[in-house]
Amino acid sequence: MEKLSVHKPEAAAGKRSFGKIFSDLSMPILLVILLIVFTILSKNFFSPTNLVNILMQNAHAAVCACGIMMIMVSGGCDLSIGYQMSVSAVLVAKLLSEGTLGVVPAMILAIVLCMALGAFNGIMGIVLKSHTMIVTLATMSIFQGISYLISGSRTYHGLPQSYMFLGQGRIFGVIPVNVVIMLVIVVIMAVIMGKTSIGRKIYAAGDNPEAARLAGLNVKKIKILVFTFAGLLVGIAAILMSARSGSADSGTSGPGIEFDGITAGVLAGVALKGGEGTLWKVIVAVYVLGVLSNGMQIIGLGTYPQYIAKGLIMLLSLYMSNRNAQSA
Amino acid sequence: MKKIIALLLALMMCLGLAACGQPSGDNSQTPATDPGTDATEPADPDTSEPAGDGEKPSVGFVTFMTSGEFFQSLADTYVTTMEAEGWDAYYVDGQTNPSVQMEAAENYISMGVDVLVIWSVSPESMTTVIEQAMAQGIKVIAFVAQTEVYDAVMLSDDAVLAGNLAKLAAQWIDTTFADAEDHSVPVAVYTCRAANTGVIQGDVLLKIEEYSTKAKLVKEVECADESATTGQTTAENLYVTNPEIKVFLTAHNGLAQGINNYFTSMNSPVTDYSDMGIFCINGDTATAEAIQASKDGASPLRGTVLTGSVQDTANELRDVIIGLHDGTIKSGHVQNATTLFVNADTVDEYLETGKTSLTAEDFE
Amino acid sequence: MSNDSCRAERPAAVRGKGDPRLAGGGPRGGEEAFPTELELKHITKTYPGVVALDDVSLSFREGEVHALVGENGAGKSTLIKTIAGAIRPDSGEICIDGKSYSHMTPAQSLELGISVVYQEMIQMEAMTVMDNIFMGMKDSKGPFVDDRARYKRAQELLGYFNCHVSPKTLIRDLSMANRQIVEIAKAVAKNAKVVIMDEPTASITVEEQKNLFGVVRYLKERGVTIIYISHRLEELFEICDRISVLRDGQYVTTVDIGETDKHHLVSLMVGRELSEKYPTKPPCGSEVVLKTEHLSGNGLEDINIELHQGEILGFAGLVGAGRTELMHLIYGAAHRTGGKVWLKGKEVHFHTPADGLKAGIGLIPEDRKYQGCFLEKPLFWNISISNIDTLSHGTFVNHKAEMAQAEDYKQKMRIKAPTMTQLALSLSGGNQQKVVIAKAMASLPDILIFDEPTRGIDVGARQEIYQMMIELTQQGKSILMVSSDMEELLGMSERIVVLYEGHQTGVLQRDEFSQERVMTLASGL
Repeated sequence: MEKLSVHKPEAAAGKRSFGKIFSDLSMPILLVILLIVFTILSKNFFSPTNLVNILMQNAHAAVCACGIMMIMVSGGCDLSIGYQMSVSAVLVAKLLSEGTLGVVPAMILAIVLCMALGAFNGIMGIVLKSHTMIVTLATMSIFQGISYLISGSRTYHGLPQSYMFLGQGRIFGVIPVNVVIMLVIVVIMAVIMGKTSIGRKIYAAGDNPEAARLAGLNVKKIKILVFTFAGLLVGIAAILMSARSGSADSGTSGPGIEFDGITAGVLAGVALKGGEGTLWKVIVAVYVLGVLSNGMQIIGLGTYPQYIAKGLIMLLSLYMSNRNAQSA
Repeated sequence: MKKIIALLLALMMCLGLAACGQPSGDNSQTPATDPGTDATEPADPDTSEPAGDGEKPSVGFVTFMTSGEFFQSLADTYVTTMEAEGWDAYYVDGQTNPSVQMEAAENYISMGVDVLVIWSVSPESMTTVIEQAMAQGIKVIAFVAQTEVYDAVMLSDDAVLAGNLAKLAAQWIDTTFADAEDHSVPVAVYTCRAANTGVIQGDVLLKIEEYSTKAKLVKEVECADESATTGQTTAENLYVTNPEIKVFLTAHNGLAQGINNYFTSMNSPVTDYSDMGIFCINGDTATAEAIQASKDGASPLRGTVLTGSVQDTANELRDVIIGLHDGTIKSGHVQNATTLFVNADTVDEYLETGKTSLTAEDFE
Repeated sequence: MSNDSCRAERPAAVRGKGDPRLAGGGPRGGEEAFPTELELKHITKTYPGVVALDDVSLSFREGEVHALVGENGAGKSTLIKTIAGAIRPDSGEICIDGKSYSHMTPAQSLELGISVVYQEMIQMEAMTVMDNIFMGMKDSKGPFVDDRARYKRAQELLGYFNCHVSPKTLIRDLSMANRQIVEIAKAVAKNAKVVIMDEPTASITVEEQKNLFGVVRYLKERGVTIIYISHRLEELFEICDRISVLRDGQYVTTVDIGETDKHHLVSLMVGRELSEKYPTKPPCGSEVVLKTEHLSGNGLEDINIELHQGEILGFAGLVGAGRTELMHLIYGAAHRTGGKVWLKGKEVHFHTPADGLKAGIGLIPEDRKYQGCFLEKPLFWNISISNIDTLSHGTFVNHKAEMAQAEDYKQKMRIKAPTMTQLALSLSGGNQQKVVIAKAMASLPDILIFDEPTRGIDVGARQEIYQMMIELTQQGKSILMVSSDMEELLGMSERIVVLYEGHQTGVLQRDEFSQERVMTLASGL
């Protein structure tokens, strides 16, 4: 009995650590599997052009996912991100295509507006003492209205070259600008979440808000800050997106992206209740979804089979990332 | 139950009042569900009659949706056109949702409009409410989507429209590649099979080889939605596997703009657009401007077909509404919409007047 | 299940205290004169390190109002949970209607006619009164609910209790007193033979209390046995027939109401020998570091305390007396509505815990798992979260300094953990508590609030924590200590502030310390 009780935990610990490594790396493993499968199925898939395409197609989604991940870690959930993005994309495109403002002031204005919308979400969550998922369900509708008021249902295009360079340009004709911007933001975010005291406080506020409050952290301030900062990221994502397409409209420039972001977050193991989550995994998860939709088109899968395949892959990734939890 | 209904009604009234109380100087507007809110909204000062006349005939329009420039401007134009005739004109955002449309129609019946125009998302579901309206003596116009019962129907046949686009595209292909061998010009068709219209029009476009002697259908690209983002991404992906494709056909304006965005972006693998063409149905101003640009070789977007100009459509609708109301049009009237052909030759004319001189006969 | 039986095999750590002679064990003579409704025989329940019930035997007669009294942690809750089937005793039997059961399940206990009206009532808030009363009962044939019959029946039931709310009112719109009545009506609707009331008067007004007693008498007339748990001794004399006293999980005695008075009860409740050794503490200084004047808010009124440098000031009171609430008020975690607080002679206004922390107060919260620890985070992370700013260069966390601090506290506090990167979750309660203390210490406070410092902690770790507290006072820190453990309070404190229902009922000097004194004040006598 004594012997057993001594050895058993160790054996379990050994096994768990394997399971933990497996679940830790589930996203990269899945990414590699997808890359291999698509490379086998199509000779065009693993070409430099296509790989750069995938990187560029998802750069704005990755930036957006950084914001979503931050909010989720703090214990919140933001459903209004799609229309926040729509508001600032439409605003910047309108200002630029009508020549009202220069590129830089227009971008700053769009980002500041987005931060204000984010802060509004955070403050409403605190004032109304409601879960931010419900609050942002309401503000989503408000932002949708604002976006259509700005655009009047129009599609804005004809944006200046210097602006489009952000989304389409390549440094030395090779390195895509939006991917570079995305990587810089991801690195900054990784440092903020992992290495700074504010990052630490965000995790604490999400993990156990009451303990955090009693430990002397200003949880309310942290939450508002998180939403505001996420607004900044969403504003940047909106710019990258509209610069990539060279146009923006209220209905499609953004809406829907919140679910892609939340999906990536959940697949990467960001806890819905907050306090847990690793940024690089979220970014890899964004690219898992990106590679999936790109690869399925390249191999010529129809729309409906694509939906099914996407769902199956998501279930598979959930299985991989939760293996640890199941065995424990 | 009664309490709940009473509460809901009270709430709706409050919302309606609040919305009516807003200054309506801005001509852009958010989609609203309450028919009361949109009453006489985009009133141009010079066309609107003095208020307070309770004897004006009235008409309610249950739209398909109001997001998207085409739908919004159709609704706005219809309101100004009818008001110019001395009518009270209302519209409501149908939100592509049959139950929203049904409720809206019921609300118009309660308001006691004289004519009800319905652009139904799901025509089968509207039968009961239309019968209810007709029982009260309200004239019902089925717009675009043919319902089971109606006083008048205004048709824009999806297949005919798509066929017209195929003809427009075929003409361009056969002139541009006059020297090419038969069925050698690679064509891709972008479809979005999420709605019935998309399926019907997509299937017609897939028969492009029947319209053009030079075209060769290489691939159908199915898209999950009809947004420009999707169009751009799928175009990028398609170029990886099929860089040879010269012509892109799609029933969806958003997809066409996305494809055009890709080929005109800095990353575009193509800079000489002279042998490249993109065609779509129901293009908007942005599409028309791109067609204009194609004349200088700055864009591969070559043409679009539309169900008449917005003003034309509104005028046709006006004639049917007034005709039904004063009895000059008999119940059971069927009216087919005309198609507008916009390409490099007619785009300037279109942008200036909203009309084109090309007609279907030019392609026979 | 297997876990529980495993734990049961561990030797009971605090066994053998108390006064077993008083515990009759088994049914007493003369019981036969009254028909017995429910009988407990030799019930024992242990949790790791604690014997919650130690060989308790008790019998309840048909149609009597039988009160259960005892200090915090005497085992009253465990006892009623055993009867209700919420927990399974390690040994002993429960006899109902002459049948013997080794344990109950919640469904079984309901079926046998036992209903519990918990202090925190578990009700369907958004459903109507009548739906709640008839919840889980088959009162109609076929799949449809006969609302009209239910309505009538519910109205009739509530009428018995002089409660005239409509049966269609939603539960969430009712007062606490009416909610209780609904729970009792529910019990009556089920023809309950035994109704257990857990602190029924804790959150209702005096008027409502009168009505409640009417209800209790009505039930009694119908032959229902009522097990009545209350901290308010005086009300027992109004409605109870007999009173059983529990102490430290042991049965002390049962007395008829006519044979006792409040002071007798208090002495029965606390009559124990102080067995544990407490480290001797050097006397404190005379400088007042914390002072409150007429402090009110968070359920408290007019609190006047003084804390001296190097002092351990104890806070006694029963559950719900407002001790934790007072600590939160002082720390800034709750809203103050009146009065003043001075810190080292300077008046302070705290609005958030951050203010309290900044001013040099550290809190070791009552609930280690939900208020103290970040269970799924590493130890070093837990320790540094309160002073993370001081460990940072600008905004970047200095991980080396953080680990050094963690190692430092690991040494000082003798935290038993192989590495500081392991999760708090994996530690024992005592070590978790040390981590929470380290977290509070890391922000270098002058005043520390220990809220239940040793709850659920084994004896060895307890001694270490006591030693640590003494060392802290030697370094000039002052301590406010809330404890439900009478021995700990008497052993560690230099003075004890006693609270009763949000009021301060007394401050005891060391030479006045006695269990009776504390208990008398804590019972509001």
